[in-house]
Amino acid sequence: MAILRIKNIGSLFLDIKTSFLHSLTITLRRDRFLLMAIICVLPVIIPIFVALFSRAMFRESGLEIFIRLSEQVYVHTLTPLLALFIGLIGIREEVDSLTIVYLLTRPVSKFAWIVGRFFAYMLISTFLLGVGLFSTFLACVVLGSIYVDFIGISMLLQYLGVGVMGLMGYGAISLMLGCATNYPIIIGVILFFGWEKIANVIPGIADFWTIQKYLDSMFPALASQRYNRAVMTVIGSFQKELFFVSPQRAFITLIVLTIIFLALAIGFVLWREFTKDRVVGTR
Amino acid sequence: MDTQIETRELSKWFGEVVALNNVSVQIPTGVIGLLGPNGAGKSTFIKLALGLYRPSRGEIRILGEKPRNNFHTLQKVGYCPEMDHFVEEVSGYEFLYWLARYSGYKPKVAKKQVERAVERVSMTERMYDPIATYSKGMRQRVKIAQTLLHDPEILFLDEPMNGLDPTAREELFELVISLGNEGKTVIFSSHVLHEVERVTDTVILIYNGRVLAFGKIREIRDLIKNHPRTIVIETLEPKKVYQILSVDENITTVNFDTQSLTVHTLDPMQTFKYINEMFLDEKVPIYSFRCADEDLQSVFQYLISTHIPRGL
Repeated sequence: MAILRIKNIGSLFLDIKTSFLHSLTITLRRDRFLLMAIICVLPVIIPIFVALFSRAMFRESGLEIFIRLSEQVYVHTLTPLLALFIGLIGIREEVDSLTIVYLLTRPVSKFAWIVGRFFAYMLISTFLLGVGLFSTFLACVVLGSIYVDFIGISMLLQYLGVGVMGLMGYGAISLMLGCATNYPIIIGVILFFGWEKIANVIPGIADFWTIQKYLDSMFPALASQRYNRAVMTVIGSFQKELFFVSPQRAFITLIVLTIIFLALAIGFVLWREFTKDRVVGTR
Repeated sequence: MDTQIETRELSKWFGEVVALNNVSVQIPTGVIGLLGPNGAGKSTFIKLALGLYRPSRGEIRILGEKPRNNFHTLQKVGYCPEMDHFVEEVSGYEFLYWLARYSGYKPKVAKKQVERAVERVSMTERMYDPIATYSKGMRQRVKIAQTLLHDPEILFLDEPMNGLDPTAREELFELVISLGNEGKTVIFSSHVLHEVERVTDTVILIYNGRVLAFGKIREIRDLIKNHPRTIVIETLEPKKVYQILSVDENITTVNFDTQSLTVHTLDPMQTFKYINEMFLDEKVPIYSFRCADEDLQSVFQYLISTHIPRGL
């Protein structure tokens, strides 16, 4: 009889590694992964189109396009999308297909299971985001005013870093939603593309309760001119008063939020009863 | 005998539905049949034992420990679920390999454990094919193989015979018996009495979330020995058959049909003896006869009516 390990740091690491590798093998063969890979490189088309079809004297510079795509498309749109579609594969598919029962009856630490899945999601999503951002950067270089030099590469890496922080924050929330609710995608879409957008426009400090607030704080400070957002209504226009957060504080906040939401995800896995074959007459 | 599983006033309810009600049992080593009709609470009991459910009241201990979120306990138990859910595109081998890894084995050992488990359920030839291409019986074998992967001390097999062909059933009967002989505890859940009888003589009878009886099958049979039994005799001359059978004082009621008659008897063995004699004498053409209520449901109904106070 082979000897099973006693739970210690070594075996915890082995559990994390198993969960990580298993999640990688699952995710990489999903159609959803392929779809997200295509979506992540789609923005490359924009600078190419601008280069081919826009008159030189009116067109935006490569730098402006790169910044706009990086901030509005990659960080604000694709990171939450990746979190919802890639981050949820690891946990939610097991729950929905009821194969989770095989895992829950194994002597694997729930902490290691969640953390392994999260690392796998981070690796895959960072790769997709990195490929997309890098391709877009190269395409923007063609348009000029941004170059493959120290400044250009630094900017690319900074946006990639902010994107990774976004993947962490949104990913931890997605994972928590996947463990806590039966409709994580719907709730995630409402949170990431509803609440986050509204809270960053309406006056007040609601934006502090969003991931986007902290991501915005980490954007390269002088990358481009940014305007304070305003809400136009029939009564009048309201301009949001912005309270700035330093990049360092934003970074720490996102790390803390990630840890909190991962801890909540682990808590829900420990607390919930996932098996569905309940007695007739109950949900 | 040492106690492997112990429950005290164990109850589980989902909303207003009581799935398991005040169950207190001590289960020793060996093969134990968990017998009850569908919806009786067998699966709930097993899931509580595995820690998949939290008890609503009372407690359950596996090898002296509470099982929920307890990886020490999970190292020692194996579970073959009743439901049939897989990641369809992976092969049986890959499915088992990852479960072996989750059981704490390193890659090389995991591979060996998978090969050993697959061999034990006779699935070696097809183990690299996608699960989607497996028949129901093969899928069932894969489920049983994953139960054996980490060589557990206690195995919970929830309706393991579902979907198995006769050969596979025989193999599984042999496997369960051999596991019992190896000193393991096997909780074999089924709603079919004769399936359980093939592997053990000790059963827990469960119905409506309550344990009606726990002991040897023959003791349970003794409990129901006075239970009137229904025998269906297929013949073209039912009235003539009844005339011959009327000497049997154990028959309480008779129902006629065009080509059969149904008799209720207090002593089925005596009635069967009369029918056999009739059949051998060839006085009346009898095509077949069978006991119509040998299913568990009737046994449970009888036990409930005689052993459970009204209102419970």
